[in-house]
Amino acid sequence: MLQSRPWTSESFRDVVASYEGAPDQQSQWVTLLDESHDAYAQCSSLEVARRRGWLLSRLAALPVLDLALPFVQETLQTAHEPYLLAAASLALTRSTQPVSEDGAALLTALTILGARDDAVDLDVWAGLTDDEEATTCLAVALETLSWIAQRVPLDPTLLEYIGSMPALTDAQRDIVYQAIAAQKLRSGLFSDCCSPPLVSRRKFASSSANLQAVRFEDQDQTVRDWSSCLHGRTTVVAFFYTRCENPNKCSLTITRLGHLQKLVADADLCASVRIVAVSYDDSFDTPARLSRYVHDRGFKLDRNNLVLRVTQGGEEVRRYFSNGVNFVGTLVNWHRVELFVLDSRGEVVRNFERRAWTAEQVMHGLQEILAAGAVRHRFWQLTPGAWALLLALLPKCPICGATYLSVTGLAALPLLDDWTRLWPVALGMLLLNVFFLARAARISRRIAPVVVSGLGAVVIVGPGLAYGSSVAMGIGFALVLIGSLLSVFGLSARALPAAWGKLLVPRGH
Amino acid sequence: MASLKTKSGAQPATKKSAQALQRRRAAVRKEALSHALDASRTVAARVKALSVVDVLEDVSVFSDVLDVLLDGETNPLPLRLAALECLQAASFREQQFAPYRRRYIAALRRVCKVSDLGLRSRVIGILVRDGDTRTIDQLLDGLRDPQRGLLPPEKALQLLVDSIHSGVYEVAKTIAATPPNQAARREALRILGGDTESTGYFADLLRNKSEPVEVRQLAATSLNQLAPDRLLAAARDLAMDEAEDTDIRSLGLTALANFGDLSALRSDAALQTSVDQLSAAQAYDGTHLKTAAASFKRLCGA
Repeated sequence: MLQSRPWTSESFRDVVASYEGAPDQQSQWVTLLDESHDAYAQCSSLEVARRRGWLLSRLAALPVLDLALPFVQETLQTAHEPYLLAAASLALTRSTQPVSEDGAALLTALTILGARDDAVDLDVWAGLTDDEEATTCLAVALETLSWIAQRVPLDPTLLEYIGSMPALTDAQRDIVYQAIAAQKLRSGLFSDCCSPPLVSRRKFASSSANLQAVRFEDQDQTVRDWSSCLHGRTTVVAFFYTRCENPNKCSLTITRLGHLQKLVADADLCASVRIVAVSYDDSFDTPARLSRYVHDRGFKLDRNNLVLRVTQGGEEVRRYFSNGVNFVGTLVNWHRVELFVLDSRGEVVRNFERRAWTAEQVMHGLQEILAAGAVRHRFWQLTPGAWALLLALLPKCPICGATYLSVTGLAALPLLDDWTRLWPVALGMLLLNVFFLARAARISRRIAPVVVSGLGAVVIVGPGLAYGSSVAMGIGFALVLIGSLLSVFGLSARALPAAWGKLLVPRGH
Repeated sequence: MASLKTKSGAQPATKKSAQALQRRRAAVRKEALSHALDASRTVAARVKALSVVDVLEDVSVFSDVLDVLLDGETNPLPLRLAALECLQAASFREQQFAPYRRRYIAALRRVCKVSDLGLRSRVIGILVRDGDTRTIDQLLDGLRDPQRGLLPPEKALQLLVDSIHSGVYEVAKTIAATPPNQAARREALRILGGDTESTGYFADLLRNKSEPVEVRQLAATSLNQLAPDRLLAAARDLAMDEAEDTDIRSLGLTALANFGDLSALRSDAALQTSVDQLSAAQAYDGTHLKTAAASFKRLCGA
């Protein structure tokens, strides 16, 4: 439903109500949760919180809520408004498959609510109620704790802390103790093994964006263009602004960036990695203000570690990164947590959005990206020699040649970015490889190469692609290669012309 | 009413004596509470009694003091104010106060509507500083529609100066343009000191001689925060304008001396001459302008 700007509270509620009962109700509501949506433009942060809380409380009435879970999780992790936290807590109970990260987010919310509880009626706009018997935001979150404690592992130390919070009544404390007891019945230690990947794989506008005109100003008041800030090496880009009032967002982002900086230095990667913090609030955040803010949070500035404001082309920057931010006038009224990793061409290769990231997680991503880059570099350096070797080894039999090529193609896959997403290609090559081996086996009457390569294909598809095991990928590839080599070196010289003949002359002639 | 101090004022020597002192203090506080609730006593005595009550001692003590605050029919205003002070002091002990916080905030919200402006103002101030969104919204409503105002506009704006994400900029712009009174206008301008869209407005205000000096000074402070280069651009003109108010001229000189480019200032012959003339002129003896000129010469003299 199209809306002309600006949205009022009433129009927002009307639009939300208009999707009720629709087949795509949840996806329409989730679209409304996007921070950059027009629904949140030109209104105060308080009003944005009311609108998002209302939407989350409507979503909580749905039987199933998996599409909205990233928003629910982020709200629990970063919000400090009791009403929002209560609505998000309730919405979490609609998850069909909660994970430990959901539990961690809920525990964070409980620590906030322990200090800032309030009465709430989630059926009323903004949750307002004067009823002294009404439930409270903390009570809603504790009910969710009861629910989730049966389903996911929770941090026992944090649970103990929550159980000791003075704001809890005896009955509320019992809920926490029951959650602790439920955790003790779970087998195994608390770990985060079952959480979904932190990294989002959202597509980004890249080459179509008009970035030539973008200008940044750094901490030294030097004007820079896009390339000088974001090209040439792997770059971490985080967004923030100094007037953010939520300590779990911008302040924490910069503090963690400082920590990441130390990890990069400890790994001796300063020459390979650039870290950049960009302000959303380019008119207020002057270089002096930005420098002071990041310095106070432990982020050191130099020519590889920059704090920037956009002086020209702000819209292009926001479009390129699909920033989740909105404004009232020039003041940011809402934004999500977001961090991006760009390769040396300035293309986004990782993004950490909507969830609390740690410096260690980003560092891990950086090391993966840098390692893949190093392998590509070594690959291209080895290529001339490798091709020469390959040509020498290449059998003259076209079937075996095709076998070789399919194996080579398979070997080249891991060198590509996001290669696990190319699993149909890998599967196709595997099948081709086995097909050609089978054709060769008809000539040579040797079944071993097909069996060995077939086994390799099964290992690649099963533990390798389905479960992401790189060890399995290595073993599977080795078996496929051995099978291919067996087929080549097992073929007798007298069979070669026959092989050519069978390929070139159609059946029946 | 017995005193809470030891006879000599010193620390108790043994554990036993410390426990005895604790018991005596608890008894004194209990007695104080009963005095505070005793309507037959004078208001002054009841207020004094409340000053030694510890609302965190027991939930019943907290409830009793809260009731004193809430009951405007039987309790005189000074007693209600004393109860508020007692509760507010306890709220600084965050950990111990946590179980009582929700009831405290709910009570304060009810007291927002009392007729006495002093009590209302204090309570609203506590709520706004606590970040209570409901109260902040009520203040903004009152600024948009004076019929619904809980406080005078200048007081409401004063309380909202740190709530920049509440939507106060929009309201402040309206009040700055059509102010109900000059105090409200000044508070609105103070708030807009963080609004980058108001930079041009402040630059115009600073140069506008028909504006009161205080408003022009506010404009200078805001410009220094929002666009220091524009302040410096205006400062030179203001400092050299002999028809300008002396306070504004001294503001210009001070801005240049503290934030200007030193080499540019030292090589600005016209400015240096003007400051020399100011320093020599007896007409300005004893004024801020003379002091500003002396400071400028010391920091930026050629």
